[in-house]
Amino acid sequence: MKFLIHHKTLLLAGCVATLFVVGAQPAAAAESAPALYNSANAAQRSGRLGPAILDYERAHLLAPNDPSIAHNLRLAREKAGVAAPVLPAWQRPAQVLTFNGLAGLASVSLLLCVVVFFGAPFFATNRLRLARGVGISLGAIVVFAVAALAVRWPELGRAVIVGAQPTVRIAPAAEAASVFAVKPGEIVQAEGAYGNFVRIRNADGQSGWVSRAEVKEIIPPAA
Amino acid sequence: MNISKHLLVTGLALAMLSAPAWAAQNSVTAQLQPQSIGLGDSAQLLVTIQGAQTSEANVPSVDGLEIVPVGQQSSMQMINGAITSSMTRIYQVTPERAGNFTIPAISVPGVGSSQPIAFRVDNGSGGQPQPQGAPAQSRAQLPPPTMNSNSSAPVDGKNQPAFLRVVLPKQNLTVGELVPVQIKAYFRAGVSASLNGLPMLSSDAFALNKLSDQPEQTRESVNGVPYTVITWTSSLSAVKAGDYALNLDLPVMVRVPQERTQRRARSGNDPFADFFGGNSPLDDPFFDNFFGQSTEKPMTLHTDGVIVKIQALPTQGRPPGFSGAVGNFDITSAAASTQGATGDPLQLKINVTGTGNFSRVSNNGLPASAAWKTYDPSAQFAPADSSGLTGTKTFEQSILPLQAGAQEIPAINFSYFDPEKETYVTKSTAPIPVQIAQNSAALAPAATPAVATSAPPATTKPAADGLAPDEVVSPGATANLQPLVLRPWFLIFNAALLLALAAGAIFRTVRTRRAHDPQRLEREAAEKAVSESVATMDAAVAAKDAPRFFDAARHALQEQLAAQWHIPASRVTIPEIRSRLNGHGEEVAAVFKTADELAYSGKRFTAPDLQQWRDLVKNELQQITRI
Repeated sequence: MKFLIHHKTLLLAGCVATLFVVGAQPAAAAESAPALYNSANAAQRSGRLGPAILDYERAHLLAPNDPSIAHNLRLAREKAGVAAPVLPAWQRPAQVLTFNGLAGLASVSLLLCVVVFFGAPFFATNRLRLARGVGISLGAIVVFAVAALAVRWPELGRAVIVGAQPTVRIAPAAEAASVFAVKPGEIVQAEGAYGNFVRIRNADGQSGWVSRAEVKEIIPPAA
Repeated sequence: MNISKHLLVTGLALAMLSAPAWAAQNSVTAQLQPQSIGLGDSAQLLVTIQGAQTSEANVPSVDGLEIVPVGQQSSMQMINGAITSSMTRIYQVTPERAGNFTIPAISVPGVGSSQPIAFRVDNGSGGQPQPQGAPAQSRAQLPPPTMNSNSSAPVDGKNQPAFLRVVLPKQNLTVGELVPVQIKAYFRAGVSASLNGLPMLSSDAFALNKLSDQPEQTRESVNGVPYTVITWTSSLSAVKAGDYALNLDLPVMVRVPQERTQRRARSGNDPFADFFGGNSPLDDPFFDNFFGQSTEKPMTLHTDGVIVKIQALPTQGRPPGFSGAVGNFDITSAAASTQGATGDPLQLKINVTGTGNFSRVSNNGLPASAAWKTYDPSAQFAPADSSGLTGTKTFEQSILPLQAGAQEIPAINFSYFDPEKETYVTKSTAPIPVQIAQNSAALAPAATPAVATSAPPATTKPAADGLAPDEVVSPGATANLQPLVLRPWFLIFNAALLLALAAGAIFRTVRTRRAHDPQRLEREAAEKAVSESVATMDAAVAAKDAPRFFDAARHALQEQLAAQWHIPASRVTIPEIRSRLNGHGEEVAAVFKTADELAYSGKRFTAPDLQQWRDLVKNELQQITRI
């Protein structure tokens, strides 16, 4: 512990260096919200509502406050006859920030927690109670952010039906019988994959297999 | 007079009783169904004998035709008191060669003769009866089925009531190759059967596409025995390399009628036999089912497992862009427009047409480059036949031009494996020249709806289709769709923070516990007291102060022993030392004794003596710690 205290500068410098060096890695699958939005508009104008809704959802991820994206996405859903995902009331507090916002909040709060914890011996005695209070508050923020991320974790598996004539089958085989119908543009949960098929679950809880070409995840898998 | 009247009445009564013999005019008619058949097909020859129940029909033999009796039917009608009866004998006619044939008149003794029947047999299949309502199907052309050693046809002469056969164009396939397949269920003529399901594949080395909705029903002759054949068409693909048996199962229910003659022989008593001269019309098999004299037998028809050799796709010569397609294909591409603006998407259509396994046909479209930003294409397949063996798969892709001027949509490659040529083939589309205008944000909103300013969308009127207009794409302003929680650096950074926090918390906890440990505190106090006493001893030696030296020495030994024995220092006395150290504490006791004596005797010690005593005390202090 004495080593850590005496070399606190090195420790802090190491954390910051890690942040900058590792964060300088090239971003994978870089997109831009306007480009996705324009692509979605083109798809919607040509009647391909599934791919349009997929690109609108992706653009919305990158620019959640863009009203044009929300407007056109709503129009596309109306044309496709699919409803927007309905959020239970108890999950709404977790929507206060975006997914990345919650992750960033948790990370920054955790960093401040560490700073307060290791800096406590250097605080004046009359400031120790304040430091303790700040640390507890930061810890509560971390807990809230992590809990919100856990509640919203299934969003990472959301997918959009992009096929024009999707067929949901009972098994991952082309000759398997169909079980229920889905519409192009419908939001489903991708739960797994086998060969060229993906297992999906719709809002009603029904599950089945669709061809990989007919469903695309909103957050594409990392390359 | 009275006798004549009786005779007349009796005669009339007899005439009425024997009316069936006179009610209808006796005749023989012959009919061939269908009139035109192909080689390999069979027709039914119906010989109807009107007005007689017992006569045999003499069907002459015809060169080139196999005529086999398969059954008979009888009927009786009573209309306005007039009774008519007829018997129809059914024959299976199977031609042995193509050509024109004539079945001569068929004579029935005592009844008459039919008219000759002329008909033609073609080389191909023709005039086959189709199930009513069956849609016209276009099937992939198949070679004639071959009877091989693994065929399920009964070659040993035992005519099974039903069996299942699968017909493949070849038995050497490549992994992923799709071939047309026919599944044929044979039911012997006279056997009534019902299907309890569809043919099912029971081998995991193959995948069977959807079977035809309306199976075809025909008639064939196998080893001279007529069969009704139900045929499903589909396509079959090979899944994995190796030699595998192609096994299919079909559940059926077969009803086999029993012969009533056997029952009549057992019973020996037919009330109608004498009336109809020995051959009761109730002997007709028609009445077997009427009286429930048939046996139902559930069966599962199996193919005999034709061995198919499946070869793996060769690795040598495999193109880098090969994605698994097997067949014979062509690729073309077309752009929805050859004019556009930077940042505005163009729709690119890539068509892959041909024959093969389209489920393995995939194309990533135009790759991204400095000139083009691209997105994943969507695919749609339009089959050209019911089996899905031929057709066109269309990939639609949105592409965004990034550079203005005369640009070109590059050629797109598509590689596939041709199983006939056993080689990989790569085909390319033709480049598409396009003219791209610069999409400038500084310009006022243009007439085209694709160009928009960066003004707040809420103040911009939506286009005629109700959509908010496009936005300007700023080069370089990109973001990552992957959330932070899935990025490795983020996870590593936060994991390091958590580890540091945990390590710090553990260290602090351990230190706090150690700081409040009573034994440790006691030990530290004793060490402190001992070190102070030792320092006092050293100072006393330097000052040649023997009383002070021995007092400090005694105090140091007391503290050390008290810490070791966990007792107060005041209880460390000479008796306590001797009792606890069992005779090994004489030097320590001597220090205590000398300290007591010096308090009263005034004995003097030289500096060397004091140094010796100091060394002794330090040595004892070290030995005490080892107790």
